[in-house]
Amino acid sequence: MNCKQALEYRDDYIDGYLSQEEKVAVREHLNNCPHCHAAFKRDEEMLQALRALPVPAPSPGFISHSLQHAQSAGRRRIPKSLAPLLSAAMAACLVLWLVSGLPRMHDQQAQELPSAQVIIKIDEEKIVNVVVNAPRDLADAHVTIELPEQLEMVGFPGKREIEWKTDLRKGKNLLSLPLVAKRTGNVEVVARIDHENKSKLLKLAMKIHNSHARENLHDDKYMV
Amino acid sequence: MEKVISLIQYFSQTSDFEKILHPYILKLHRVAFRLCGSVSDAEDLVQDVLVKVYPKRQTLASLENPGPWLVKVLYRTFIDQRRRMSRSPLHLLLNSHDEENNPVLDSLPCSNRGPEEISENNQVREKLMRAINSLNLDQKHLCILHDVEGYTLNELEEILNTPIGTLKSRLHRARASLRKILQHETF
Ligand SMILES: [Zn+2]
Repeated sequence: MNCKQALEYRDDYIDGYLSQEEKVAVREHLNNCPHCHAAFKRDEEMLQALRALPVPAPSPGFISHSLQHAQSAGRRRIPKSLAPLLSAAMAACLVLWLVSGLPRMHDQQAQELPSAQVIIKIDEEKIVNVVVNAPRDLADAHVTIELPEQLEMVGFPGKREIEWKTDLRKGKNLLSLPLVAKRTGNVEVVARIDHENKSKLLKLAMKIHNSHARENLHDDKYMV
Repeated sequence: MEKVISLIQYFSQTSDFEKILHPYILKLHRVAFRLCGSVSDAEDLVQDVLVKVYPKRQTLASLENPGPWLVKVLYRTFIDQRRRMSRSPLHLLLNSHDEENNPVLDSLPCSNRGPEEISENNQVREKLMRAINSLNLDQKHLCILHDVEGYTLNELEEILNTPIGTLKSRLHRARASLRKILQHETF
């Protein structure tokens, strides 16, 4: 290997992109050529100096704050295609409806929930199960639960809207909502499932009693 | 078959997002700082990236090594922001002063070394930064990501969405320029 050939390898050599054979050949030349040896050494020093360029730290608390902000911003986001429909739905008093139909999520255009209300006592923790009947596997479905001020989701104190993403499997999917009542009233819980640009909304009527509410509704399921 | 979508899953997803991202924030901030040149711009950029990737957290969770994927999002976001800003005449005006008061140099932290060594080090760093900033933008970004931050060309092919051959010759040209600018420097 002559000097010209050796110097053509100089970048790949310091970057470690050479094959074992090439490396050996370059090293052999460097051992016998002080000129190239000095040039390669300089390259290495330059690279080390570049790697050592300091970086100031972000402001204190930036890591946790930025993560929290990303999550709250992410949860607030409503798919564009749904935003106008959503406010219309609110105006229409949360009647169950179907937007351009999740493809045959159910045979009917809109599905009535059981007429019976879910009854819950104040401060009682109750798991309300909603069955979501999916026509096919729905990856990355977006589930949103909207709660009235009288109700809280266990673990989410004060949150009126809870969203998460999940994969729905074809067939029955069980959505378990651990709810706790804070005040009396006849209220509605809204569950919405978005997938791609289709959406399904359902409302669940709930009656919150002071006490002596009917028992054993614990495992009732509400079909969607 | 019923599948239980309990809220436990929600909890675990929430904490997963933090768990997965947490180790990468400092690294993202480093890269953002190198690209933007100021701590606060870097923080804004990282914040934008986090908001962007939050809806994609399932993709993120499925990646064996999310680092390069995140840097790719960061780089795209950076380029998009630059492009948007470069359309604003006000920013172009501000940009023209960049050469003189380089924010990168202002925000270099002090180390615990003696004053002589600090000034000597700072001089070298200053010259290195000036050399990097004299490269064309593509070369500069490649130099930052490859030489300063240590991403491999294989990773950068994906991050920069550019064929490895193009990157390699770009890198070699960048190095040649750096060598020329820094030929009388001792590191
Ligand atoms: Zn030689």
